[in-house]
Amino acid sequence: MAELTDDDLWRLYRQGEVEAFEALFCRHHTAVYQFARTILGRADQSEDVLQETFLALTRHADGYQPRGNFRGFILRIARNQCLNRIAARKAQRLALSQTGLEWIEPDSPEPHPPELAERNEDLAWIKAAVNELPHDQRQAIALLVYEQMSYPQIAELLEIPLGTVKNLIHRARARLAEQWRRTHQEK
Amino acid sequence: MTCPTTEAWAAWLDGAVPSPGREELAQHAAHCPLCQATLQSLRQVDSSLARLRPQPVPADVLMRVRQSLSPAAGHTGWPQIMTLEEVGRFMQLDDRQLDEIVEDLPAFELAGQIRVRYARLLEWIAQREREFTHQRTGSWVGRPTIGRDASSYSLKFESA
Repeated sequence: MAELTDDDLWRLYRQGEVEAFEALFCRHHTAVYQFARTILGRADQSEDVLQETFLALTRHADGYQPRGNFRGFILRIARNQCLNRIAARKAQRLALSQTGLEWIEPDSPEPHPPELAERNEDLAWIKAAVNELPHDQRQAIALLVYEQMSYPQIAELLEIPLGTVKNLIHRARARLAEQWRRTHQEK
Repeated sequence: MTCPTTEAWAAWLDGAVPSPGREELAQHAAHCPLCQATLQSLRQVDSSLARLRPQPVPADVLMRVRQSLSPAAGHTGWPQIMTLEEVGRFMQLDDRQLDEIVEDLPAFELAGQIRVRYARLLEWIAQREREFTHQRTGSWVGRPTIGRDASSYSLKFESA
């Protein structure tokens, strides 16, 4: 199935070929998981997003019209899943604050072995720094860096104007650069 | 000229500052050690970002997600137990055409109604595909797509 396009696979899946769904999963699961990891910063919730995103495909099989942008479609589902979880966290924080209790962010599970094995200091630093960016900047940077999307593609996926995408990315890079300078001056 | 913000330098490096501002910033950078340091840190960040690659999904996560998806992956929007009308729509056959093949279908009776299991229907179609290919080519190869008029395959198999 390697020579088939995403749209070919989608049509086959709709005709009952379960292997075509598996092929789509193989092609796109890393992108969905990485995107969720960058946006949410938590491994456990990213796993949920990966699962829910592909489940959503099976539940709303009529939702995708094959027009050559399956990756964009599936990342949009993943983004909505992430936003739902962020909104849920905010609601939990708000509910707790009204009771006078303090919100404590649950510990993220231990990093997975590939991350523990990360030996390149700069890469480890930049990953952590990207995770600290504000949500909207983090989304744009994730799509730019991991998905190698162009600014117009990012604007289309996030449904925001092109100028806003540029501003988000310039602000994110500036913030990272200032942090880089501070970190390396301290050393 | 006061020193531009780091964000302005990020836009400048991106080629997003139009003339004449672009040239003015270049002149400033040439003589300002502070802004040179800012540019150096931006270039460092850009270089690090360019080296980021998506991490593979951990094997245990992948296994759990695959397990949870496997029953759903078989669900393509069609019910597991289909009526004859649904079978007709699935195979793109009208009532008359459906009547011609109804006795061959892997059907069963339930409360006086004919029903077909979706999974069995797919197996039945696959079997017919194999038989059809064998009849046309004399070999057990080829794999016509489900749901097209058989005459559309004549060219495809002519030279086989």
